[in-house]
Amino acid sequence: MTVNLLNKNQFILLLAKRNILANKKTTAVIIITLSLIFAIFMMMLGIRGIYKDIFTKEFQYEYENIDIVITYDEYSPARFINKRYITQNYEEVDYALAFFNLQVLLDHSDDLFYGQLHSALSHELEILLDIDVDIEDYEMLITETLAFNQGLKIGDQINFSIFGKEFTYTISAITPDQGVFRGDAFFIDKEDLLEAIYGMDYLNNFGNVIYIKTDNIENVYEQLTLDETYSDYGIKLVIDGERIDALISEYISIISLAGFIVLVALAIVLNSLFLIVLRDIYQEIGVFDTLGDNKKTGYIVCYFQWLIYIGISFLIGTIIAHIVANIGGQIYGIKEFLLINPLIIVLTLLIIISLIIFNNFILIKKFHKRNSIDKIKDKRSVMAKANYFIQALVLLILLVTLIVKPFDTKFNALIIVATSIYLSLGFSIILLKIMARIISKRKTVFALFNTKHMDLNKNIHQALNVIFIALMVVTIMLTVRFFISDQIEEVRANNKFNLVMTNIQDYNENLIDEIKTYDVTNADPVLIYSDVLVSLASNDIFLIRMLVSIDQSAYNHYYGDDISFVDEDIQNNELPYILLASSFKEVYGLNVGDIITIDLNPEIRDFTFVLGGFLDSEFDQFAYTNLSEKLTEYSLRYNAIMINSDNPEAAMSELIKGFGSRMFYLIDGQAELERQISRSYSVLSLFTVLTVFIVSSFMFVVFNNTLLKFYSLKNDYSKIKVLGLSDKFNFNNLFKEFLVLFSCLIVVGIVEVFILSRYLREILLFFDYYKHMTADLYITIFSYVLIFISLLLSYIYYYSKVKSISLSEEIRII
Amino acid sequence: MRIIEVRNLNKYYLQGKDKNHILKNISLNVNEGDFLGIIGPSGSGKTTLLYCLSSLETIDEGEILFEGENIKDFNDKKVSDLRQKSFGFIFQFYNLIPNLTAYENILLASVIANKINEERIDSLLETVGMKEYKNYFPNEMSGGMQQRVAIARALVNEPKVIFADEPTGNLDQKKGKEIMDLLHKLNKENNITIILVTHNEDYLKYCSRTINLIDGEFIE
Repeated sequence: MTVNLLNKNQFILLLAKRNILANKKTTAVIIITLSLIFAIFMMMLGIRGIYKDIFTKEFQYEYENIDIVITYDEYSPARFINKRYITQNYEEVDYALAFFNLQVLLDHSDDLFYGQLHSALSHELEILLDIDVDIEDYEMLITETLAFNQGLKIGDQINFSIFGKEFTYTISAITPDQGVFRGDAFFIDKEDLLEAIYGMDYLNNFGNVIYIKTDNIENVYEQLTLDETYSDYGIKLVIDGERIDALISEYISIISLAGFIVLVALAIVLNSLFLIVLRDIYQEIGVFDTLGDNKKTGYIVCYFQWLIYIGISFLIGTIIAHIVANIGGQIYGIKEFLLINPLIIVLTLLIIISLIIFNNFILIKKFHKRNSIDKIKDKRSVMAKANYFIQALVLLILLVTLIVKPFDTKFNALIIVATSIYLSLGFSIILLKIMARIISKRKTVFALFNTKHMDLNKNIHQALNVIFIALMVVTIMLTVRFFISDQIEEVRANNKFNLVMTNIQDYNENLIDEIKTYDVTNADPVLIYSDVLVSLASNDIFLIRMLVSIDQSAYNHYYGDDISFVDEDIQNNELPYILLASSFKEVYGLNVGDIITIDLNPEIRDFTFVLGGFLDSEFDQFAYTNLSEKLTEYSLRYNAIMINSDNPEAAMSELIKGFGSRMFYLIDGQAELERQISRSYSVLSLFTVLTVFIVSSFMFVVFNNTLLKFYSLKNDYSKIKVLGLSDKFNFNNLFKEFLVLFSCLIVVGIVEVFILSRYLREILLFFDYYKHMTADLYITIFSYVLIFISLLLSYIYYYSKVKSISLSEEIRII
Repeated sequence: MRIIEVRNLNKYYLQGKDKNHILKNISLNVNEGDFLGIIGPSGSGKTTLLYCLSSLETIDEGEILFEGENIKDFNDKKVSDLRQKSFGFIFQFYNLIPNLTAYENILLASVIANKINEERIDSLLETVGMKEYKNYFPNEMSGGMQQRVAIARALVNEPKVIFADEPTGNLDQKKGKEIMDLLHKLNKENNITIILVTHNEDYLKYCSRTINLIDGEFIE
């Protein structure tokens, strides 16, 4: 249908649209590939933001309607907190709720189980959970989880003991898990409880945890942390930006590294699309030239075409990215919709548009130099011209960096990885050309046709590059994924303690003897500090979740690490020594003998240690010190006891009965460990979703690229079919071509995997992180298998397309 | 009036390490309204000569003057102007844009020259006998039909010279004759200068002049 066109731009747009619609299948392949590029690019650029969102929402779910939590430091002697001071002196506080939380052993019809007591005034629970609480004296409200786990129902009677007092309460209501009131939790009114225990009912302002809601979180938090009244307590922001950033660093740095490689790979995949888009436009540009076009109309048609591809693909890609991110979020447990940062979306669009414009400009500039007749008549596939000079230069840079190491570790590693990938891409093509030339000496169709294209056809070279980079991406994504899961298993294997008794304010050795009268195999005092801030001489600061000090002889009852390697000089140093995870050596350039300063808790700040060495562990949230050998010197006391038992459940039950009244808090070590690990598992689950998506996408890209190869060679295949080549011969030739390509991939891929294995971990230093991550043999083999399957399937499809070419149609356009 | 003047034109092609002397000291004049036929065996250099005359190919030595101006000195803009306003091209393989209709292929030339005249396009389609096929795409047309469209495209901007490179080479005798009749008619009625390359001596009768090109040298 002719359109009434007097406007040149309308004409250009029409031709661009027609070009796109004339080759629907090619267009579909381009749009699908470009959409995947957009989606993956967006997710990789936005991954830190996605996880930040997830962690923030996780904390919001956990502490609904609360902004700040004040609690006793479980390893410090403080007990009760009075909220009155807050309500009287902090005007910006909306409310402060004093809860009394305790782990309690419950008894229902002789079934014993643990529950987390939450006790406050009823209206305080109403404020906290935004529900109606209607319970009478000696009635309790329980969570659905507790009801389900223990088969409880309204009307059941529950017995328990607190501080030596026996209580019987009736379940009067069951409520869905919400905020802090979740899991095996139950609520009873604090007035009843404190009156029964202390004979006083005016202790309503007291609790061992205060939940605070405020409109000015930053201000109130700052004031509280500086307030002497609360110097013994732990003051925690529910949404703590620094903590979230620390979590992101801990979990996401390694994922960001994979993301960096993926982004480079996407640029290479994008590059492979240009030849197919420009192929048909070249002829049009030649015709435009002969008609006297000096305004580069043909090139503008090309850019319009890209604009249309970009417009459609950007939309589809954004949708795909959000679907994948939200599937991952749902698996993590986030109910709300996760939105990728709009700035990231815009940045993705700008980067890809820039890459396209730049690439287009380079290609068209080269093409423009040819004369008009060549542009029209030369219907050959674009011939590849190798630039050996640049490759030689890059090789020189690689060798100099490997030998001389002119820069610091991370920059050297980056140069080595970047140059090796570049050389691998080039070398895979050189290898292909060598193989093709050896084979081409024969007088066969394979030699004259397939190998000629393998030697010279840029489409095939691009396709090999895409296969290679897909292999790298798949290998790295799988390596990171399995590394994270291996790390989790390592943590599980290294932490062997069954129980930890905490909240011990006045330790003495009799306590150990007492505990040993129970069914325990080991009981050892320990000094534990959690969430300690470490400062270095270089002014670097980082957080360590757990700093532990226990007698060296007892250490291996509870932990799997080796700590026996510390030098005698360090051991005899007047300062206590500390052992950190080995990654700190690389990240901060630490050495044995360095001085480390730590804020152990709000009371004990700037405590000095000497660095005694490095633990052979990837888990960098744990550190060991021999501070327990210098307790008297520093006026410190043990604040916890580690306990192992052959029957930990029974032992825990008995120990709670025996020591609960002294407000010692017994932690199920393995349950606590699982709780700590659960976040890692959730992160891993989300990353697994991303890995599956990215690996699948790259396998699809490999498939797509073979299709693009077919479309570029369709005409040539028609010609040889016209000359009488049978389908059987075509099948054989394509199979041989597949084998040649895969052989090149095996050789070059193995070398590159080895290099990446060695140097990728050092690139992590850009993210202030370091892990001894390497690609193992099984992952490498598995990656090869995936790419093999993808390539094989694509060639099978390629053969079916060659087989079904309509010769009469193709010949008309030869 | 002399429209094209060629003086001592030499053209070389590199084939591997060898430098082939394709056109050897060609000198000729083309007058306005001429129907010049360039004939010669395969490989004689006639297409190369045509491309040189029409600025599609650069020359190595000599001069080609169009209306007194040496086109060797023309920059890109001036060459484009020539192609837009003064020259028209007809190729053996038509070189239509596959994704544009017959009408649009002709329109394309006028859009580039910024001389859009829809009436003229319709009139040309009628002249070449393609009016009822104006909405057909090239793959829906026969070779003869495509060539007619190509001729209409070549004429739309009222060129002074039409360069035709084996315009009937891809057509059967009957259609070839129709095309030649059309070109002859345009030459006679509109005084358009036509330079035709052909290997078919039967078509020489349409020409007012003939040049024989053998091994890059011409014999008039």
